[in-house]
Amino acid sequence: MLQPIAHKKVILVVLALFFLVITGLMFYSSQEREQEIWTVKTFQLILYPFQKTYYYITRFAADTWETITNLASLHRENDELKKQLSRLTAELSQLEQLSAENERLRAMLQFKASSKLKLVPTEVIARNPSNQNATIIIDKGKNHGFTRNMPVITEQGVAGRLLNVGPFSAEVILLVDPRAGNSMSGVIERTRELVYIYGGVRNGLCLVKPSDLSVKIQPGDRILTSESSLYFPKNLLIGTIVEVQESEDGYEQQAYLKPATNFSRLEAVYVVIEK
Amino acid sequence: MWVWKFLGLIVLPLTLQTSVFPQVSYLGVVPNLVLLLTICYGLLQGIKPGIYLGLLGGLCLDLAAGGILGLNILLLGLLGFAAGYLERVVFKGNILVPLLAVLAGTLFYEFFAYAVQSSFGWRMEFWSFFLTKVLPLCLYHLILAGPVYLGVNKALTLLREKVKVGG
Repeated sequence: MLQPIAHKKVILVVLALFFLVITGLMFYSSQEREQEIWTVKTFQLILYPFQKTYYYITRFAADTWETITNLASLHRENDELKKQLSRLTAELSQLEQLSAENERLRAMLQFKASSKLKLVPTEVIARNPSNQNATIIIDKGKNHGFTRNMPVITEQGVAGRLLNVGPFSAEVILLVDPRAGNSMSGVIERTRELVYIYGGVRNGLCLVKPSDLSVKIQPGDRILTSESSLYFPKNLLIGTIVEVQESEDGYEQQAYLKPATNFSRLEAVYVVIEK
Repeated sequence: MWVWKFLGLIVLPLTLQTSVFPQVSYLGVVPNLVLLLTICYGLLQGIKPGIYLGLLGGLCLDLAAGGILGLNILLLGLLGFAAGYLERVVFKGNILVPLLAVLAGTLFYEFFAYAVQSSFGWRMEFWSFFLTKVLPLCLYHLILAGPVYLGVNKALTLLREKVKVGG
């Protein structure tokens, strides 16, 4: 008679301990960590070759299929692109002349020349398996000189920053990831006033809050990275304001930003090594 | 034997989920194959196997995803247990059973995860989350549940026959 009761008590104690451990683990891991836990790093390292293999197989199949179905339109597109190329070559020549003149004028006014960004191209080999998180895995890591918090950009604009860096791969936390602590500063291109951008909130959009009550955001405003940003070079495009909400008294504002980067089809990104 | 089960039921789906399905995502969502397999496996095998797969699959999902560790362990463990409990009380021959189980499991998983993440400061508007993530995900899972369930059933039957023949 006692044994079943004792057995149930043991199960209850085990369950209670299990929930306690899990809750503790969730609290511990809920904030962004400077150093990732070794078990996570090890597991991701083990998973990396599988992810890379599947990625390349899928890309090869998708590219082959696309080539076969698009052969006819590829010819037409090729001709159009050749015409565009010759026009752009002429424009580039003019721009180079303007750039040279700009440099001379800057030197005359004793401005410090803006430094060029040093970019390392990488491929996206995997995405976070959770639909709530927005992180990607790229195929380069510490062996290529990457460190945590290095900015990640695309041709369109800001993508995110490096979160966890392994020897061969790295995890990038995207601009739209909703976790606490994923935020950055920016400036409104129109007025150069400071705003703060927070990831997540709505699907594909970021929340933007002005730094001060006097800062007014308008729909259509382009938001760029600011000089005061800890991680990002200045004047990179973050996105465009699509909606502005005001409080009833009209003093407080918050806005929604559509990122410049298209995160749904991210295949290649650049890591900024030097600002 | 358990190594092949681990590879087939967790590592392979996890890799597909991270590397293949994002390239064919539907409305921006990717199916949670580990969750699908946990529910289907629990429905076919019972409580203990369901719990074990849920806990192990949840652990692997947490390690692969980063973020809040322990969340998937808890959720998939519970879902594995629930699916395993259903194994005793429902008729598994009807294909509606795994479909409904997967739908209920998906809703439970997403809402619970949303509640936990929101309490830790993650920013997601509920209606945007529900309309753009939960609904498309439920649809995606309903489409995949049938083939996954039948596939797991077939694989387990073949394994049992192989074990019988092997003695």
